[in-house]
Amino acid sequence: MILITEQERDREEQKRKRYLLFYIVSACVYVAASLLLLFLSPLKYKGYLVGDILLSILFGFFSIFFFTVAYAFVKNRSHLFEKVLAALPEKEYALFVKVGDTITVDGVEMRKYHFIILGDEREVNVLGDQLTLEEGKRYEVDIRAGVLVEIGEANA
Amino acid sequence: MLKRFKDTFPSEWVKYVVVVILSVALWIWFFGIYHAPQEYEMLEVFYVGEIRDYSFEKIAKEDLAIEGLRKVELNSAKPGESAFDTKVLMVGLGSSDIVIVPESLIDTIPYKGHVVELEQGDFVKDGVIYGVYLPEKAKKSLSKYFAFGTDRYVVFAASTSVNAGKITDNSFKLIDWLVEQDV
Repeated sequence: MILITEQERDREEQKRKRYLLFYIVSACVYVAASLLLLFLSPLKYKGYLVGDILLSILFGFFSIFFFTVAYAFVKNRSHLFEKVLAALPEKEYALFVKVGDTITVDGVEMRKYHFIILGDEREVNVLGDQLTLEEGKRYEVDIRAGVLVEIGEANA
Repeated sequence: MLKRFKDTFPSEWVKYVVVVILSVALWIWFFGIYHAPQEYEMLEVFYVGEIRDYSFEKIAKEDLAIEGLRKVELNSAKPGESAFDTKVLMVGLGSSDIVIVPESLIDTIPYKGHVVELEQGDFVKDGVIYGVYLPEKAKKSLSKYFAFGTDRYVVFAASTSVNAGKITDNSFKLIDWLVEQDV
């Protein structure tokens, strides 16, 4: 079972670019709308001023949310995929012990899986929650930069 | 997404507050600058003495009812205060539209060359009409705004003003209005 593929990395990168483009377009629309309000405002401009203030607050909130939550999530995933796929592969036989806590690595939430590899217990980070392993069973794993990239049942 | 927002909010809330403060402050500033009255849309009165009541600005603007006039502003310099001469020269004669000076101080002020020569008026020097004396009844009427002394007061139209014939004649209209004031 392949957990992280190059296609997925490319998809994440495309997604990141799409998000950024969406933000740039939104910023242009915001700037155009707020300048329009300013330039079209009459001498009694209170309504236009309030409109511009509200528009700026909305766009400001959206920007903070975008860069700290939405875009940050996609960017972190993209960077992690890049880092993991560029790392040297470590292909070993591993005995699955247990599922550990959830941790955040480089801004991406992952789950710790405990394996016994070459006689030592190791924690391997796994992206997503879909992986179900059988305790005490041997697996063939591909670990890169501490992250599980591929796992399969070991041949007897 | 909502969970991630809730996770980040405790460390990011300051940014949300800053956005609100900046949005309000910057847009008030931008609108203020964009809609600031042009030189020809305002009249600045410089009074040599003490101003009692700045409501003159509102009353003069409304009473004058000049089309396009958006603001009347008062400035003053009290004789004896620091930088009095500089203030009269720079603010009064240099950037105001009309200047009101007590007669006893006229010789200390370099008005020649800084005020417009008028066609009509009663303050005459060397055969040139430089200003208009404020009549007693006008002085009495305007005394709720200006702390007039026993002196006679002269009203000049500053020559640097665009309202003294360059773009508008509003300086002269204001002088006429001041002179015509009656309780």
